Order: sequence, then C-alpha cells, then structure tokens
Amino acid sequence: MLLEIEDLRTTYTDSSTESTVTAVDGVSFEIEEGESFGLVGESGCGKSTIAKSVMRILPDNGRITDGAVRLNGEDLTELDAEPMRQRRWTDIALISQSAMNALDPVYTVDTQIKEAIEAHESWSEQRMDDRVVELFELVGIDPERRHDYPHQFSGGMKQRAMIAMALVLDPDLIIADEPTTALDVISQDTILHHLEELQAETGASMLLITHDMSVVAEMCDRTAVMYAGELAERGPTETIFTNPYHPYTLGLKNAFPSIHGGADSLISIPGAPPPLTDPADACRFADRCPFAAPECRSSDPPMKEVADEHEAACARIDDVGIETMREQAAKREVWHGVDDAPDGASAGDGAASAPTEVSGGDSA
Amino acid sequence: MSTIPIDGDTRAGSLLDSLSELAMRPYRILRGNRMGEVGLVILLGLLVLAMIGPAIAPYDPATKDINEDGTLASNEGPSAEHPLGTTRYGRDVLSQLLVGTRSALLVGFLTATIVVVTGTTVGLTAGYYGGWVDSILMRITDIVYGIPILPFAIIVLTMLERSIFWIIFMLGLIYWRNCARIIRSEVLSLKENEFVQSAETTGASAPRIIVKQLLPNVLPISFLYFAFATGWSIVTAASIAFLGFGDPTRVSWGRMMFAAWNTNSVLQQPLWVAMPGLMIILTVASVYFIGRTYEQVANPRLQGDS
Amino acid sequence: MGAKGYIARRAAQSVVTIFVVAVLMFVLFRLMPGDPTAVALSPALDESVQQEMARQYGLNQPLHIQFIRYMASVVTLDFGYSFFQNEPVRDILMRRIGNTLLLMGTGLLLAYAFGTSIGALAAWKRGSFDTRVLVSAVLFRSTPVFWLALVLLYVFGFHLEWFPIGHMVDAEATYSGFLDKVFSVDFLHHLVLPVLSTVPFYMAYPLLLMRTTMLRIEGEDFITMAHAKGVRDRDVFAKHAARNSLLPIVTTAPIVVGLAVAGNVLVETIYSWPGVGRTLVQAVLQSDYPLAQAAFLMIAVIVIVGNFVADLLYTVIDPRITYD
Repeated sequence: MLLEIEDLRTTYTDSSTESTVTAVDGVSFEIEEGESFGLVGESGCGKSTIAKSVMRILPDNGRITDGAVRLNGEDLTELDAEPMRQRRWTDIALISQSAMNALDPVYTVDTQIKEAIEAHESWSEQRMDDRVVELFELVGIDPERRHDYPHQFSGGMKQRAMIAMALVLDPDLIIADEPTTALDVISQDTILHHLEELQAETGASMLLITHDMSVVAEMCDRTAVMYAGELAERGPTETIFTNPYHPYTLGLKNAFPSIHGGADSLISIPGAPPPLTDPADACRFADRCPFAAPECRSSDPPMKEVADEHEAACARIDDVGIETMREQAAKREVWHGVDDAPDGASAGDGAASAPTEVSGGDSA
Repeated sequence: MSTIPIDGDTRAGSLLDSLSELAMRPYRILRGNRMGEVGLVILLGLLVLAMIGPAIAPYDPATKDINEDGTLASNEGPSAEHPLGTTRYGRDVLSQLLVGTRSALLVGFLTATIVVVTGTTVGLTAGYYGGWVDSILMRITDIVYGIPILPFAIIVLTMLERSIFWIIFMLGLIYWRNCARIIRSEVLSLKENEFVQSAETTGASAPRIIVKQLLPNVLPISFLYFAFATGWSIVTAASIAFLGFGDPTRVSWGRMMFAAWNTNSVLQQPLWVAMPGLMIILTVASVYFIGRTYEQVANPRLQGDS
Repeated sequence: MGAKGYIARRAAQSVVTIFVVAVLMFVLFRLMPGDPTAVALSPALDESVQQEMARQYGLNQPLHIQFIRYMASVVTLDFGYSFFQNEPVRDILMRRIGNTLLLMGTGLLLAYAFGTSIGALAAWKRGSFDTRVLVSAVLFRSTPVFWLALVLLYVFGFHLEWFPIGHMVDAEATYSGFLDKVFSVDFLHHLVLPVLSTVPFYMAYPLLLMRTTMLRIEGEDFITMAHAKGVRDRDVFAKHAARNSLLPIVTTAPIVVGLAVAGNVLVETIYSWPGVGRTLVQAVLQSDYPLAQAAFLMIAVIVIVGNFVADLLYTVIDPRITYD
C-alpha cells in the first residue's frame, strides 16, 4: 500500500474569533501503487485540505489534530520538519488547482523547475537542463520556451509546465488538485488524457481531487465521495457510478450530465452543506436528504460495507431499500419536494447559514 | 425640468449617505482595535487642547518673566511656577507648548483638506476621462513629484511671506500628488466594474457617474490620505519652522525648537526642545495609527504611505 | 514599445520636468511683487555695490532677456558668481554635491537594508514581534529628523562626547583627496550621528510597505507551491516572498528619495555638514540668490534623477512590466 490515510482530522482556527472549523473530520482511504484514486465533492468539503494535510503545507492556522498519513508505511504526521521537507516532491508532488498563480511571476519556468531539483538533489546544471528539456517534450511544450516567464505562457501551457514540474523527480504519488478547473473544455480534455498517459508511463500513483464527477469517471480506478469533511461513500469507480449507495452520491450523479440524458434531466441538490464550526453528532447530509429519518439526526452513521470493496456511510440503506432509493432519487420532485415539506425549514436554515469558506481552506 | 431637482436630490442624498457612512465607518473600525483606539483618544485629547490651550496656559506665551532681583528668568529648569521651565527669554515653555497645539492641528487639517480635495479631483478626472486629460494631469503630477518640498518651501516663503497661510497653501499644493495617483489607479479598476459600465450604457452624464458612482467608492482612500497628509504636513511645517522660515507671528512647536537651537540653549534647557518634539511625535503618530488601522481593516489592498 | 523606448521616454520626461522646475524658479525669483533687485540683493550692501551687482547679474534687463540668460545658464550650468563668496556658484556646488550624495546615499542604503529586512521578518514571524515592529515604525515615521538629530547631537555629541558635533572631518586633519578623506576613520566618526539621525525616518516607509506586501504575498499560491516543492523555509522567504515584495518597494522609491532630500537639508544644517542642503539654507538666509537658485535646482535634479533610476530598476526586477 503506497498511501494510507487513517482517521485524518484537520482543523482551521480563526484567530480573530477563536473559533475552530473541522475541515476534515475522520477521513480514511488508501491508494495502491500505480493506482489512480479520485476524491470528489463540492467545493468547501475539505478535499484540498486533505491534499495540504498529506503534504503538510497547511496555512499557519491549519493543524492536523488526529489520525495518520502513512506513505510507504511511514507516518508523515510524525515526521520532523526537515525529513518531511525531503519527502515533498521526491515522494509526493502536487499539481495545484490554480496553475495561473502557482508559478512565481519573477522567475523563468525552467528556473522554477530546477529549484525543485536543487531542493533535493545536487545535479549538474547540464543534467538539470537536460531533464527540463526532456519534460517539456514529454508534456508537449516547445523546449525553446523553457526560459520564458510564466506570464508569457497561456493557461494550458502553464498547466502543462506544472505537470512537467510535478514529474521532475519521479514521485511515487502525484496529487492533482482540480488540475483542469481553470482551463477551457478542450484544454481540459487534452490535459486529462495527457495526465493519464504520463501516469501510466511513469507508474506513479495519483490522487485526483475534483468537483467534477465526469473527470473521476474517466480517470480513476477507485473513488471516494466526500461531503462536509467526511467520506460519504468509497469504492471502485465503476460501481460508484453504476450502483451508488449513498443518497449524496445519488444526488451528485443527478447533478452531472451523462451521455444518456440531456442537460434538462439534471437535478440539483437543494440547500447547502452545514457549517463545520461545531458539527453535531448527526449525519451531515440529513438536512438535504430526501430519505432522512429521526435516527439520522441522533448519530453520525459510520462507513459500512455495502458491496464488495464498497462502503457507504448511510443508516437508511437497509430501511428504505437500495433499489427504492435509487428509483426515488432519479425523480426531481423527491429532491425539490424537500423544500416544501414541513421539516424543510431546517434545510432552509442550513442553506441560510454562511457557507463554510475558511481562509486557507477549500476554495474553487 | 421636473427631473432635475429629483436628480439633484438623489445625487446629494447618496453623497450625503456615503459621507455619513464615511464618518461612521472609521469609528466602527477603530473601535476594538487597540492601535486605532489609542490614536483616536490621543487625537481627541489634542483637539480639546487646541481649542482650550490658550485659555488654560498659565502665562501669555510671549510674556518675559522677570525675577524679583530684576533679571530675566532665562532658561530656568522646572519649578512650581514653570512646570517645564522657561526659555532663553524667560517665557514659559508649558504655555508655548499648549498654545502651539492649535498651530500644529491647523496646519495639519487645513493642508490635508487641500491635499484631499485636489488629489481626489485630479485622480477622479484623470482616471475617468483617460486620454489626453489623463496624460496632462499625470505629467503635471510627475512634475510635482520632481519638486523637493522643503527646499521649495524655504524659497517660496522667503520670496513671498513667512506666514502660516502660505505654508498651508504650499504644502497642500505639493502633497496632493500621492493621493491623485492612488485614486486614479483605483478609478481605473472601478471603471471595469459592472455598475459603472451599466451607468454609462444608460446614458448617465460624466459628472453624474463621477459623483454618484466613483466618488463614494474612492472616499475611503481620500479619508486615508487625509490622515497621512495631516501627519506629513505637521512634520514638514515643523521642519520649515525649525530652519527659521516659520510664521514669526505664531507660537508653534517648530519655532520653539528653532529658538532653542538658535540661542544655544539646548544643554541648559533640554525641555525646551524635548517637549515640542514629543508633542509632534504624539500628534503625528496618533493620526498615523488611525490611518493604518483604517487602512488594514477597510481596504487591505492599499499600500499605505504611513 | 520596448524597454529601450520606454527608458528613452522616461528620460525625456525627466528632462522636461527639470526644465519646468527651472522655469518655476525663474518665475518665483523674478515675478515677485515689488522690485526684483530688492528681493534679490541684500539691503546690507551699499547703494553703488547694489547697482553694480544688478548690472552684472542682468537684473536691470527686460524680463525676456533675463529669462533667456537664465535658461542659458541652466543649460550651461554657469550660474555666475556667488554674491558673498567670491567664487563661481558652480565650483561651490560641485565641491559640495559629493558630500550631500555621500550622506544621503549612506542613509538611504542603511534605511533600505534595515527597512526591507525588518519589514520582511515582521511579516514572516508575525505575532508580538510584528506588533512591536509596527508600532516602532509608525513612531519613527512620526519623529521629525531634525528633532532626532538634535537629541543625538546633545546626548552623544555634547553630553557623552562620543562623536564629533559637526563637520565632515577634524579641522586639523589634511587629506590628499576626496577618496582619501572618505575612507578615513576620522570621516566615518563624523558620519555616524548625521546618518543615525536620518535612518529611522527613511526606513519607516520601506519597512511598513515591505511588511504589508509580504503579508499579502504570503497568501499567494506560488508560496504554497514553493513549500510543496520542498524548498527550504528560508529560501521560500528570501527567493519568493521577499523577492516579490520588492516590486512595490522599488516603485515607491521616489517618495523616500523625496523624504531623504528634506532630511538631508536638516541634518546638514544641524551638523554643519558642507553639503548642498546647508548651502541652500545659508544662501537663502543671506539672499545670495544665484547660489540659492542653483542649489535648489541641483536638489531638484537629485530628486528627478532618483525617480528616473527607480523607473530603470523596475524594468530590471519585474519581468511582467509592459511598456505602453
């Protein structure tokens, strides 16, 4: 097992109000060698915080309070600063969600790639330059452009340069955090295919973080669905899409276009995620869930196995019956009826309270 | 015809609203911020001093105190009669200090008013109209940046008259440059905003857009520059007075130090120099504290001049 | 337009600015109400000497002739003789400009070195260190240069007698040349107090600006990215955060040069430093107007050239600059 995240809990503290937000609350999953693992969820659900926690590059107000992040069996959360620094980029590289701003404007692109090498290796200037040329060819940028400044690159070129930079030290794991969000649809597609090829070629594992279900469907072997700091469902991508179990996954699937239905068949999930400042011991999706029952509000359901290598955190699957649930969830009135139901007021409250945007937290 | 007064009313109304908002916002921002609160309390104290200073001063600042034996009470140390001692000419240092508060705040606030009115007008006009209007105004601003203020002041005051009026006028005429540049760049980015563009497409006149849409948005910057310009002008006016080019008819902290230095009295009567300097630091620091707090909380994007 | 065109245009603008300031001086000196000769010439001189000087300096010529003569003198740098020192104004100023630049340059160099590094550190470390730095910087910025100069002069000069109370070198000392003098211990000893008087005031501005910019830059994605790459903390600080924060520091340099010019006039006067600033003050007080006029123009040129150099520097340190 390459990466094991076990019961990870990460919090942000707002220095002015002293309040604490639990952005990631007891998340566990594993990534095998060479595997491509998808982490999908709405913006603000804590996906990027997981990436930052794994690399330990949280902002000053962020802290891992519990759990373990094991890379090749070694718990990264226990490491001192210097050994942790050495793991970064040699073992885990990051393709950031904002390639536009992730390159320092005052240095040329090759300088910034070489900087990553110099932080870990003592290669000759020639060897570094050869490597940069090789990578530029690999990601499809003219190597002549390597001495350009970032502002001379287009958005797609910057993203390719970021990918080149991520590959420079042959990392075991690449974390791609919304790698294509800032790009137009055509560049998105090319970059994703490219990423897939390169991953296959280098044999690196990949943690792909996105809000876009279709990206995960195309790219990943296994997928975890995240909601409000917790995992809702986890399993092989194939079955997550064909046989989802968690009502949130059902809703998320409705909200994305598939080949079978046009845009008019899309059903959004009404409401907004609850604030993460003081999470109650309840299912966090209960307020937006058409299948919620009183028991959902009295305890937070644990992950349990629902099929082969497939787990979901929902207490209602057996009571409602998964076939009924899937059938109901495909109907628009089932979701949007929630607003009109007598207990819809509580869902409205959830929606009215401030979205859980935390400085340094997840943001799209 | 009937639309004109309505237009006029709404224009005045929104400007009044934004002005009263502007007056309240600094207060709300400063409250709860230690640095801002300290600055505000000090400044209010100094304002009271400026108003009642001459009334509570124990002596006329120009009266020479004669000892019982008929000699001048020159450069005396602190005593019951003169808590801060006397000057070379037997005048009461404390009284001069109290009376000088008024000059400092007068110079500070009047100069800042000229700075803000000129700077805001130039910045708005240049930024909104662009083109040759912008070019001309910005070239003028560049030229004003080329004028070294203290040397310039020395010459102008010598040629014209050493009066507080000319000092204020001249400082105001130079210090608007920073304010104009910042406001212009703010207007340039505001112009990209939807609300300005939609006002343009509905055919609103240029003066109307400037007053109704742009002015309320740059007023916080103007307020900030009011605070900074108050500080700059108090320090510069004191420097002018220290070099001997101050208004000879007024008691000011700068002229106190000029007199102490010129009569070689600093060693015998250090308070004569120390106290006015400390008063300047207190006054200027209080407006900078207010300005910085306001800047941090109200508009963290600005790169302040304090 | 390329970098060269931009620089050429800025240079041309600087020349225009110098020209306008020179014209402004002419207007100020000649168009004052009353008899220009009365303003320009010291009433202490007797009648015949005044007449002779008025003739010599062309003060009895029509204004347009005076203006042409004046502009010619600006272009040729020939400002005639000082009223009170029997020497060409140009020679007097040429002897003193070096002294001024030396004092100002040392002050600015130290101010920028300390200001930017302390400001950067404050933003990096945050917390109580930052608060203390912030409050001190605002107090420095509020302290008049001449007041600090007086305090230092009296404490360390007169009272403790650690440093000389004025001039550039000891009266008895002789030096073979400017460089010989400048690299002497004697000179450095004289330099300490004047420089210390100016540095706190000059450094407050770059310090506060550096701090504000750093705080903003630290939130940028490329800083997070540098950490993710495993770049050492001190390199992230120096090569990325501080390096990027230098951009506004350079663009605002003209403001600090402006402060420094004023500060120099004051410390030169207090420490009897034979520079252009002190010359200006004395010339104005003595109504030595050819000298005053030329000294003022020289100071204005320092400011304008300072602005121009800042423009040049900016083209070097920001690759994104567009020349339009």
